[in-house]
Amino acid sequence: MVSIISASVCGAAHKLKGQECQDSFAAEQFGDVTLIAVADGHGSESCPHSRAGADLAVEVFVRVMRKYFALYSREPDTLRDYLQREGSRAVARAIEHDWKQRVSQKSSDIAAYGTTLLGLVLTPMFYFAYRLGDGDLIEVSQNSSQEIVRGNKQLGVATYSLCHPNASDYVLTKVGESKANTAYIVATDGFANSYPDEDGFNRTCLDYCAAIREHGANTVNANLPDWLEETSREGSGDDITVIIANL
Amino acid sequence: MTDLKELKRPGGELASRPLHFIWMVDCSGSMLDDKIGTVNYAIQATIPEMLDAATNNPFAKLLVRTLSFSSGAQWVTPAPVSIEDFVWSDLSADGVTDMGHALKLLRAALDIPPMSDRALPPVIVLLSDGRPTDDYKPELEKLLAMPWGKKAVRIAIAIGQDADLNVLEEFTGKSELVLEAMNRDALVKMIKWASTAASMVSAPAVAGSDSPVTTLDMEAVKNLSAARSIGSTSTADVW
Repeated sequence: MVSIISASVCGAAHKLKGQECQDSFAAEQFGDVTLIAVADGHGSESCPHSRAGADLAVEVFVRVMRKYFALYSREPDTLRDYLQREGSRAVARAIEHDWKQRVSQKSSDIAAYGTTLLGLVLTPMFYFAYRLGDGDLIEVSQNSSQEIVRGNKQLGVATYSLCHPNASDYVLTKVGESKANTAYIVATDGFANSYPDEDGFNRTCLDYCAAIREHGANTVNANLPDWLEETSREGSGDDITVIIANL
Repeated sequence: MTDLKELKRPGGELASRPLHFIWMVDCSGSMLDDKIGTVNYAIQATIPEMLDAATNNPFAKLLVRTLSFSSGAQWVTPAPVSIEDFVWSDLSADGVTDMGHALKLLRAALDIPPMSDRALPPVIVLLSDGRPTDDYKPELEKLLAMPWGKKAVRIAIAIGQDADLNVLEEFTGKSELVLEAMNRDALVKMIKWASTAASMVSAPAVAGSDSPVTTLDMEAVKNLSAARSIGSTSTADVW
């Protein structure tokens, strides 16, 4: 069974300004499947409902992926092939469509709900990673930490978003083999932005997973909120959400 | 934390995100006396306010540099300096307006590395009273094509009536970000406003949207109208 460790904290900078956390996350397990999603609402003045947008985004990811598993419940190989072929097309469009439909039930101002979305599906055979906008999807083995999907990150404070008219055009996905003794980290960008460089961040991912091996998932899970509070306070000041799926 | 062991945070050193602020100053001969004197006075005077702003935003590390150009160009501050340690060195004026040389040095500084891809958008404030005497266009095009060149908040202050507004608008990409200072009071005010731009590098903008990505609060730019009128209506000491 995959163990899930997760926490989400309001950014130190947001606390100073009296703002709420704009991150949201979901983690669900059914059978031998694990579904994880994190979303980072933009929080800018033009996106006043981005927390609600982030909540909807993670719900939609889980719901859409559950539908695919229901459709292909007896054919995991076929599902893997489908996700490989259609992940960044039909699947991305389904997520965008579902999210926008749910937002439109609340308001016609879709941009007011702007958010990123990162998702990960883990099965004993394969993983499916989905990225729209900033944040990190990391695969951590005993000795190495590497990004699963990279390529559409934006510099500075700009990001791709579900609220864009053609959001699914900017989605990147990857299907890979699930590996034993490996952890998968999905995090909003406040986590990586709290470290001086990529090396520092990768070392940190390795250290977090070493802590799980040494102290156990429950102990790390109990400590994680304090660690992330410290990380935001001494680092980016941004909201931080981290989910670790440990195989 | 119930009865589970309290652990020290794993992982490496934490750091706030760097925010580079660059003064890019025309030191050609036409800036002699009052203009360069006002620039020296006004930028020196902004340091305490920039320091205050940085203190109020502990999640950005404000790093300041000065780039001067006349006959050639040079970094007055060889490496980015924390605002806490930044000391303004008075500039003098002489020579021609080699803006292309300055843009080339700027490009090298905005490359990744030395710039971090985790930085906040850099702020570049260009002050000039004339038109470039070298072939600046190829360097400007290369600057605007590079990742941090595109994302930088680029502001220009046109000093006096002979400043080439078209060139400055090419640099900023937006006419609203070219501020005209026709006299000493206006120049002081424009420099003061530009120095606050670092605190306006703000919340996420949506990339790939139909509207251009902006990292600067354009409302604040519009609020400059009061400051603009000081420069345009005063009849005293017009440059």
